[in-house]
Amino acid sequence: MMRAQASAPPLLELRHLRVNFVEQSLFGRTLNEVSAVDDVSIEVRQGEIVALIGASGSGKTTTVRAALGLQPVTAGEIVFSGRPMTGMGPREWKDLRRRMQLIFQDPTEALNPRMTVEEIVMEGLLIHRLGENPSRRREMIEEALGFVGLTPPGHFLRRHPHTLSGGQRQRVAIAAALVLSPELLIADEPVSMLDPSIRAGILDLFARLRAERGMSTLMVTHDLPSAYHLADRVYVMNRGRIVEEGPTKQVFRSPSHDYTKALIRAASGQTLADGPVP
Amino acid sequence: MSGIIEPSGIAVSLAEPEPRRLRLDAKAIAAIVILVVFALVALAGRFLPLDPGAIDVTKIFAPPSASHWLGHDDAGRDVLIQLVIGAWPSLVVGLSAAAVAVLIGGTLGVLAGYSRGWLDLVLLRLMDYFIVVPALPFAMVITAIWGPGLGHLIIVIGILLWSTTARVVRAQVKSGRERLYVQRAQALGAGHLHILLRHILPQVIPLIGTTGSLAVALAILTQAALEFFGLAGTGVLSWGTMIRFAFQRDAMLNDAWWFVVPPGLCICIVITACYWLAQSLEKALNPRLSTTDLRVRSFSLRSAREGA
Repeated sequence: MMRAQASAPPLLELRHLRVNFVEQSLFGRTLNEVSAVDDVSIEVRQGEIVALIGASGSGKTTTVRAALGLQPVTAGEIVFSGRPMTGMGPREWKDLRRRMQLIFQDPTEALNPRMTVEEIVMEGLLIHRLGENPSRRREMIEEALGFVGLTPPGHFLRRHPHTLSGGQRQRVAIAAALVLSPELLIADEPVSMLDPSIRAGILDLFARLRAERGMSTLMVTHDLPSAYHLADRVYVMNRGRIVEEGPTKQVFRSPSHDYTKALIRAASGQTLADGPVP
Repeated sequence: MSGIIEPSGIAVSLAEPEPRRLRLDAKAIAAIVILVVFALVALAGRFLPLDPGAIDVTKIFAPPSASHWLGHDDAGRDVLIQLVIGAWPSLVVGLSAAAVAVLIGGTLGVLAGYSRGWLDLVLLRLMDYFIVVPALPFAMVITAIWGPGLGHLIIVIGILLWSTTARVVRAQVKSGRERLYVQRAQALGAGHLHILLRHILPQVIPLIGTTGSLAVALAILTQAALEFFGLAGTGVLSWGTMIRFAFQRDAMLNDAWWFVVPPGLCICIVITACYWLAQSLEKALNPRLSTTDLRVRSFSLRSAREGA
């Protein structure tokens, strides 16, 4: 397996990111300001799987939304492949949104029920004008569906999301991301809406993507076992701040922060296999 | 799947209705048949060389007979032929005014619903304003300024009716743009145009069918009312002007019901057909309306016990 090197260049860097939700009056006067993300710095290197863990409401999703420019940033910097995104125009952001793909928590809501699987996977190709002609695009779509395990692809192309199972829907969403050949996947709780029996299959996809394509993944999760199995490094987030970071095994074996200890204690009912956790 | 459990123990899906083929019920088919018949009559009235006859003082308010099914008017002309000729302007003005209303309402509704902030606010106030504008005085003022005429009538009715469509469309767009798949399209790098065309409009277009057929009904009714007050101009024979002439020339005092009732009845039938069409379209496009209450009411006890 291709393991990430500590020396590999960082692909995505969030530097001292701060996001405040501001409630404004009609005339622009600030009525109320809530800090959702407070001085968060995260780094994902090439070929690395990084987990961002924390309880609900800790600001994980806001952080990744900000990374894609879907959420205005109050302060801090987003750097992708060494290129700061601050002050970039729509064209650069559009390009970023091809190289960095977001996978949503709830595949049922994230796929337009009126579109077929083929249309859903093709959407990104059309937005970014990839694939020279329809038959080339069809090839790319079938290749992506094949990789995520929806085989034979021809069997799924014409189906609507509601005829698929939850796990299959998430696979469609992942295929729609892969078809754009991104460099980084951001998976926002990719398995939390899925049945436990099919979670492993989806998580395995991320491991395979890294092994076969050197794909980097930033995985947002509150599920500690999946972070433990998959991630090289973890960031622990609480109330909008990163409270602990480090290599996965080290953080899980000897957590230094009280919040991390509490999280691990709470999860110890579940199995953190291969190796006991204190 | 997202859903809620009703107190009866039945899970009711809150998910978006699955895409399905449009299935029309008997009411819709009846409505379509009625509208097609009236459309054919209107075409006949427009393009066949029909003539209600010259003024004939011997036949003033002559009652219906075998050769003249709906009798004669105050000038001794055939009412049935006038009715057929009058169908064209009535339907054309109704349809075009509804089209104007849906076009303005749809565009401004999408614009208001999609844009957050001040534009939405301004457009919303504009819609509020046009909802409370009293129809008849407004139309009278406008025709007084512009002068009477069918084209003016179409625009006036369109202006009167657009705000309802705009409100309905705005609400749908507003809820539609918050959907996760719209966010996903944004995260994919889609621009506003792509999101509007691929994700928002498909949600809105069925709605336009429903509000559109309601708008046609309202437009025909408003038109008849305006014509009754003489705002359509002279020289146009339509159902509304027929009722006006009948009223002005004391048809009822002469017991000539055949001059008043037929145009009124035609307006009623067309409007009813439009309402039916709107109702069944809504039912066909929004299966939740029928299925949820049916299930909970009639099968709740048995299903709850089976589920337990």
